[in-house]
Amino acid sequence: MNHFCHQASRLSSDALEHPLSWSDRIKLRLHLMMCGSCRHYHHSTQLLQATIHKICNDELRSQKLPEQRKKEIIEACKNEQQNQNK
Amino acid sequence: MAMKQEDGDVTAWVNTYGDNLYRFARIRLRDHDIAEDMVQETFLAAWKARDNFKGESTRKTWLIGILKHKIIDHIRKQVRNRKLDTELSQDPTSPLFNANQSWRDANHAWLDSPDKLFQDGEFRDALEQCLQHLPLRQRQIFVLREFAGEDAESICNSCEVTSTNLHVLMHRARLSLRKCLEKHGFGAKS
Repeated sequence: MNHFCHQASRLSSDALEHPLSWSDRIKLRLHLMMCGSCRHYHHSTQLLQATIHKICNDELRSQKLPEQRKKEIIEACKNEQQNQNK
Repeated sequence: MAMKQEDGDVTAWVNTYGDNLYRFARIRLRDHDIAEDMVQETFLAAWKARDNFKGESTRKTWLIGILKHKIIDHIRKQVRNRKLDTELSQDPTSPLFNANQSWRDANHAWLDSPDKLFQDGEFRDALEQCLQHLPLRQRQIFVLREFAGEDAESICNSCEVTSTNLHVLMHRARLSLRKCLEKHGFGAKS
């Protein structure tokens, strides 16, 4: 007998991408009620997504281009300017 | 006099927009060296083409647009010699399931919260390592979707895949990452 777990894992992923169809939503919900492994998998995908979003928000606030690199870029652009003027 | 003003502009450009461009690239590329290179290439290209900037958008939007194209070119170059069909046909996550489609190993509950995992430096390191273990296209697509928050249509265009391909690769990426993170000691009950 085939189990639904592989399909359920796919639906758990798809549910994070787009709204599921009514029938897929029902199939997933019913399966999650009965299958602990799939329930834990479903929860962990949501948890991972939420954590990644926190990481990204933090990176968008805090990460900086190193000062040395900024100087190198400015120098490279000035050199380019001098080459253009020749 | 004109030279001094232009020199001043490039310094102002880099100081004003450098961090934003870097964050944009870093989120998408997950590699600080490559992100820095992309930012440098962007400023160089923009500086060469500065007379073409007519002010239809803000300078920041213009610079981001140049950077976005460079990132897409980089992504496509990375997968140039790797056939999509081959990658799709080889499913590294199939061993996670039995022939009857049930899980090979039971999944345990992950008891941590997003806040706790976010604050855990070891988790963040493990996540980056696990991302590097993903097949290249899976990694590119997963990062653009989950880290950069790009919409499906944009990702399909950048990575030259269909939306069906995208959802298959996202599914596989999620399966693989969970398994990998558990091997690093996260999530599973002790």
